[in-house]
Amino acid sequence: MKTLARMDGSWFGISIVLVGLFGLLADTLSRFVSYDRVGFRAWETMTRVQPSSTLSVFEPKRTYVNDAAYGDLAALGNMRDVRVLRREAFTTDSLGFRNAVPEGSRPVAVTIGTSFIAGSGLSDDETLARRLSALLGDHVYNAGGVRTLTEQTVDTLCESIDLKNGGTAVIEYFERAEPPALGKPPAGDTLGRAVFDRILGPLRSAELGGWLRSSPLRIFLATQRKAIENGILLPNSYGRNVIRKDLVNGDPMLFFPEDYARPGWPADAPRRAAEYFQSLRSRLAKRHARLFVVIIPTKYTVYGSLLRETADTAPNVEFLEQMQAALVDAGVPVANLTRTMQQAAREGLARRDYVYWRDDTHWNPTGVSLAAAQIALQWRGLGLLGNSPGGAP
Amino acid sequence: MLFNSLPFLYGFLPIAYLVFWRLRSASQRYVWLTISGYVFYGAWDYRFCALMAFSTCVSYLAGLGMLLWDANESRRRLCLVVPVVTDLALLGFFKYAGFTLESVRWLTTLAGHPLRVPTLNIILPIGISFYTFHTISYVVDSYRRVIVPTRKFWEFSCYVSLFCQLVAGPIVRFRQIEADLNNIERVDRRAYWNRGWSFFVMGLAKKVILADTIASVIDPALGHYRGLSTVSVWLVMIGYASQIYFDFSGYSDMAVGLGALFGLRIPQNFNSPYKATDPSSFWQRWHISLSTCMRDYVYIPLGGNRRSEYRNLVLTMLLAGAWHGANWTFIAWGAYHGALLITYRLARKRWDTLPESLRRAAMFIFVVVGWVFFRATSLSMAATILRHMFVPTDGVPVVGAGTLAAMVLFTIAIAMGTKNTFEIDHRWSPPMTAALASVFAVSLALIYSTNSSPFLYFQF
Repeated sequence: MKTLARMDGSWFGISIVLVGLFGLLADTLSRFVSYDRVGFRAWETMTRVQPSSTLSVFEPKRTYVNDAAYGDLAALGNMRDVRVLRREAFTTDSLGFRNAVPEGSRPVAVTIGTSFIAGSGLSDDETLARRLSALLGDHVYNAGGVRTLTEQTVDTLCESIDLKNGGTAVIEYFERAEPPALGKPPAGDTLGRAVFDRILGPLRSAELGGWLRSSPLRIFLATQRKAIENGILLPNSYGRNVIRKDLVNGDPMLFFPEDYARPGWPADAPRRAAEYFQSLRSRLAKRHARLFVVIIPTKYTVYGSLLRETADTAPNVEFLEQMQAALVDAGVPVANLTRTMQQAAREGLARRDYVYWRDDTHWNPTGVSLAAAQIALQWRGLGLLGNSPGGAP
Repeated sequence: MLFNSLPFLYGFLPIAYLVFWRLRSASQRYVWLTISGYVFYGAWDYRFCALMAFSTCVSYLAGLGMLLWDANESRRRLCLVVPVVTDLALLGFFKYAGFTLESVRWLTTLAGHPLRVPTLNIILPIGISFYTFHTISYVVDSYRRVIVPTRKFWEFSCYVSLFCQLVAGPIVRFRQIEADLNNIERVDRRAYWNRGWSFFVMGLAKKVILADTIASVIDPALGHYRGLSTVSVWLVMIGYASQIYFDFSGYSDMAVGLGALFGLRIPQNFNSPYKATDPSSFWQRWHISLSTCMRDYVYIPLGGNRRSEYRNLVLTMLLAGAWHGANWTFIAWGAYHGALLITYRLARKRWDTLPESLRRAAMFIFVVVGWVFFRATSLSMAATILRHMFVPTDGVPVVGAGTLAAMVLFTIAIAMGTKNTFEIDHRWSPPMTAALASVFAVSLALIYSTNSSPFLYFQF
């Protein structure tokens, strides 16, 4: 059995170490390069810097424009043939929320939620808040992309944006999210996270946080790798990250695997969510604001019944309707967009007119318009416009 | 933590290296190497560090016992039996308990008297097969008086937990590294610096550039193995032969290189196995540290060539198969190689008269067929793949078949037609240095571009 023989000199080893150090240096320097150059859409660029002083996940006072943005699922699954290229302009205000045009008036409503409300995949003038503004002829503030959604956050937000008396806080409930409940910390808000935040908080915040979070060099190299894994030279290993199905009209549609699986929330989740929203409604009423909940279905719930193959799991309509019923019973105004979206999806199929992007988790401008129309219609029906709760001015 | 990961390359290795060479005394270096080993191991699952520490303590105490009771044979035997039984019990529980119960259930069902047995969900501690072998070999060699057990606890613990060979070998016996450990405070830092890096870069390139690229084609292809044609299945299995060789020998080269950077000479584990012209020669070249352990600790004690040679061969190879994993496929792989060895011994005179190139090609085909059992996750999968290999079958094309074919030709040419890492002298001219530095840069870029993939032998 052989072992190593001795050899003098060190220049070979030094050259290897230098290459390693060069790689580290390149990685370090690349972190000073903007994501704008390597990103495929706005979200990653806009969330790179997250000042701890804001409630938003976006960098304040920032504009990103991409004339050939495409969907998160197409990127995640490296599915170039399904990309739907579109222009995406994303502008944030001083609070870090996506409000491109400064409005002189106090907002009559604020939309609060995640990427759906923020308008991921849409341009500034296509967000839910902008569509509602257009329909109502009044200022609706977009607070999508809120860092953590708690009663305190909603309260602070209403105060920060100076919501009109009698104004409405529109809260998103997205199907995939764990239903809220009283006394339960928001997702990700654990003791471990709190300790982690306390220790690493200063590092994670603002510029340094964005610098640490990810490396444009890695993103660039991953993009090159994706180009090689094109299904011809090499199999596409990213393909397993998404579920690709054909619609009955033959068009491919991408789904997020977690949307495809039916979440197993406990049976009392709707009742507990209703208690939570009741509590939030009372809190808002104290500041003369109203609550309105919007139930947003996943893409799979909307398109699951329109697939060419029989789906493995049934869409989750029943749970969302239970949630809606629980909220109605609790006296919480709610719009469940599920049926509206499903119907529009069915009717638009022959025209290849979709309500969600085919390459993205989120709704497209058609879907947002539908949502805005239903919300506005229900507001009018419920008399939520113009009158404040409890007789306040 | 993987050798082919950024935390290892930019975090663990520089710290382990710089601190090691800052320390002066042997005991400090033993302690530091032990700490490094436990940090390296704990990065996977810190809970199993206790298991390794326990195994280390038991074997160390057994060694002390043998020193203490040098003249008392019965007590010496006790010092042999206790740690060996303890280690085998741990290995048996963590690695084979679930498999054994499942096999009992399967066999009783087959016999028409199904037995209800509990299902165990035991997590297999990574590398347990390797460090168990280290401790057992130490105790057995001490008992046989091949080595003198060490009184230095930290020397022994750093031997067991040495990060460069901890989770996937080579299985370094104490006697092979004892001299370097004893000399650890006097070793010259620059002595193996070039060779260390040369081995490491070559091993990294074997893994990241060659093995992982091949795996990226054959893993999805084997995901639908029932649909593969005869040509495709041969291409895929030859690809797997390349993958496993470059993956495992790449890891071994990295281990040798890393050991060298710390002044420790890790022995050769692969000696161009695909150049073998017969089964016996293959096992002298493939996973040398395992095959020599099997020879010294199983085959020879069973009687070796002196009596019941064929029975001993089969038992040894069955055990070697089972060592790789708790699955009937590994046992079948061991049995297959046992059969090859026996057949070769029976037909040796005629076989050796054949042209060398023919014997080498035939041996390679035999090995590829054996890999079917090794790669399959079940015997039925192995049977299907073998049927597709030997019965002409149509099927769907393999995505990336062109790349795979090119990679297979390239890697087999390297494996069969070039010197291995222990045969080259690692004295590089400036152009070759530039070439190897470029290879290292490409490997780094590949590591940067994706999540690092584990080595195949980690599962054992």
